[in-house]
Amino acid sequence: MAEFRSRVEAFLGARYPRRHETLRHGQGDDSLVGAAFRDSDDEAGDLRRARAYQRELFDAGLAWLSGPVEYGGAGLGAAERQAFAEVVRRYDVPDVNGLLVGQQIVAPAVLAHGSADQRARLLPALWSGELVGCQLFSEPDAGSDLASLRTRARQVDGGWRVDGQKVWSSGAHLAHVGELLARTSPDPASRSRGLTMFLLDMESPGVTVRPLRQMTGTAHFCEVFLDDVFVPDDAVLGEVGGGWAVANVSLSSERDNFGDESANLFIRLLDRLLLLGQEVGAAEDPDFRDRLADGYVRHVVNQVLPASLETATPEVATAGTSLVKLFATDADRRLVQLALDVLGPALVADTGAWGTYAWSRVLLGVHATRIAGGTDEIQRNILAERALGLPREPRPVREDRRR
Amino acid sequence: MTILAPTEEQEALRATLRSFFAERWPEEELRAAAGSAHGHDPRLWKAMAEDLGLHGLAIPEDLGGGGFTYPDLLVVFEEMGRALVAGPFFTSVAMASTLLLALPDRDAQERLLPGIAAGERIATVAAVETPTSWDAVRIAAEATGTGATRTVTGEKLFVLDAEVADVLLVLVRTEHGTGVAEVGTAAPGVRVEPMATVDPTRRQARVVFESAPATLLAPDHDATPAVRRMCDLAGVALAAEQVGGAQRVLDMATAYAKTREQFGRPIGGFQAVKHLLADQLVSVESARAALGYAAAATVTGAGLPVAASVAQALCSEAFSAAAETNIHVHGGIGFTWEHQAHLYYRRAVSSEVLLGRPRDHRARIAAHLLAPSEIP
Ligand SMILES: Cc1cc2nc3c(=O)[nH]c(=O)nc-3n(C[C@H](O)[C@H](O)[C@H](O)COP(=O)(O)OP(=O)(O)OC[C@H]3O[C@@H](n4cnc5c(N)ncnc54)[C@H](O)[C@@H]3O)c2cc1C
Repeated sequence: MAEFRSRVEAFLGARYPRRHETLRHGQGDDSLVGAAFRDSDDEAGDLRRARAYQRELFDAGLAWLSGPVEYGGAGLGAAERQAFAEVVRRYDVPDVNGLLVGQQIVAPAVLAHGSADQRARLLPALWSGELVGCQLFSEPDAGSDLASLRTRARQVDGGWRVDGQKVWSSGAHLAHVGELLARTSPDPASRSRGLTMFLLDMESPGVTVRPLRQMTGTAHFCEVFLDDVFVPDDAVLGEVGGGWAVANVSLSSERDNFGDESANLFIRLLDRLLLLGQEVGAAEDPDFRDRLADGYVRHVVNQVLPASLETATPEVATAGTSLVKLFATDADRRLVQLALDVLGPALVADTGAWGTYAWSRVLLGVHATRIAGGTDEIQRNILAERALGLPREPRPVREDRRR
Repeated sequence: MTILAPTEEQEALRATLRSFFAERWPEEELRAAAGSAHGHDPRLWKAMAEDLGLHGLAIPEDLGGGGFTYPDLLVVFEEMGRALVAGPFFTSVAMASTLLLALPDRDAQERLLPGIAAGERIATVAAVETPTSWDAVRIAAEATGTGATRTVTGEKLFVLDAEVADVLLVLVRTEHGTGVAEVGTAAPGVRVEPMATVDPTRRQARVVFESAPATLLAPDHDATPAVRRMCDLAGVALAAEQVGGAQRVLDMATAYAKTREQFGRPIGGFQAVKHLLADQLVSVESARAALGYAAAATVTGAGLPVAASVAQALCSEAFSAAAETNIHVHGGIGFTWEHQAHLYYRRAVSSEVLLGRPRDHRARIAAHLLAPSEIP
């Protein structure tokens, strides 16, 4: 492990500045927009830098640490992943947000359900930053209740024709490949059984992507219109009619990754809040000290909770990603509220002082974390039902019965 | 940052303890002890020592103990917290024997620890003098005399299980700073006055010393580092108890939510109740993670003071919140004397303030964070 750490140190040290050297109040870029909040002023530039960095990581065998070697992974374990996260946190590396959907949502589904050809074609490309992925699940009428989605795929010669609309698709305007969940047969007995997953080439004729402006002001998520789009047979991911299982691989991995991502962002925010408190003279304020320390307690738990859950009861362990997500969204909100209380008016109106108004983006962006990847309420349902064994939510009212 | 995952031996120990307390500590015994004069069950105490060797588990073998690790002992505290075992185990083992082991006084260790390890001698620590905070630093009690031979005068509050203790380890002021004086509870000039307590399973007393004969331990040293170490290690033990208790009340509330029916269905089917319990699960599991982190620090020693406070801050709040939720989910029956919910709640709140409130622990963490250095 020490050898691995020093390899990572050497790789990063040769290319990027160490973070604590750059972290001084009043020095450098004071932006706080971060991966978890899916918000940036220069998406195209960020993505370019992310892809170049990712290529270098990939070539050094540091991109996909836990992935199988045959598909460009490093074949390492959770310990190395954690070690990498701890080391990389100390360097000022490009933000890889634009690549995360492809790597953390699309790739796991391809690995679990893809054909040999799909795996070979997509996994190294997603992990080297060559291809950018997006997730096409949610629809205007199907969010939490994803299984009610209506986008239809009809079988035609050599493939499928897709019609429908997706929404809130993060980074779809920059993506090459979309993980598309569509209804292939209206199975009256089970809403989820009639779903199939496709790997959509985003350049296909009939695909229209329209970025939507988010409450933060930037346009990062999109609506995607699918108008008689042809998808070849070899783009079916998993079984025809087996799309629900594929989607669940993606959703669970999304939550899992959310934990890592938000733990990393959290420490950055905590660092900055500490500097801020000292700068604005809050360091002696007992309320500030109390809540800063509470932030630190939550930072520690963010770091160790996933490992701790591995030794929990099987029921709790399988719902672990929901638990981590709920813990993290709560911790984020507490920290942002502390920033608001420390800064007061300087958070809501720009005085021009370094590192103050920058928090407004976090204040606005933090709300996404409680919605994206399954809302807090959906995570609570999952925990109550799967981890605690409480009764399930009432079955949805079926369209055919209702009519 | 790492946690200490339980070993196979620890899981085996846990299973042994679970069935031992299920058999030896049914609710009738718990209630009998809680209602007894001293909140102590000498028969259980004897069985814990003689059948299982729990008291001396983490005491070195050459001092009469089992020579196991502190994380092994934490399993015992977690299970005792779960079973809500009454009596002086916490104070005699987590506090007094930890303090003795941290003091550079081999004679005292040889004199006192074998008896504590065998469960034959009960020791407690008399530390606090300020009424509104659990503070082992502000000490006014005096130890007059020279060398090891002293007399102690002063007044201590919140002394755990003093009525059943044989030996008091009294924090006193000395020419070197803080000292630890050994005083027999039966010695002249010692008056133990039981305090009314919210928690009937862990008793507290005011102890008044009027020129009580004492032996000053490690008389040439300032005992401050040993006292700090006791507070840290006992804090982690308390966190383990709290995690055990919190898990137990969450289990209790969940089981009830599955069987109690209203409006024609189990109350656990109402989303308000489901979400209440889901939130408690998040809180209990995060407390367990913090405990695992602090348990690792008891082995490596690295960052123990901060890690202990992290665990204390979180585990205290988690146990109190889970105990409160348990009462609420039970409705009216949860508010009765007959139901166990209040016994756990009583333990939760008395533990929450023992060795410092959550905010006291956060104050310690803040002092560490705001000292100039990088966040670990
Ligand atoms: C920033 C961001 C990025 C996103 N990126 C993507 C993406 O890349 N791809 C993609 O497919 N989707 C994406 N989403 C969509 C996201 O998955 C959905 O928004 C989410 O699942 C909620 O669905 P909804 O918006 O339809 O809200 P609804 O499902 O209508 O929920 C509205 C409210 O009702 C509550 N609610 C709903 N059902 C229940 C229930 N059973 N019990 C209790 N409360 C309930 C919810 O918790 C919520 O508070 C993104 C969303 C955001 C905010």
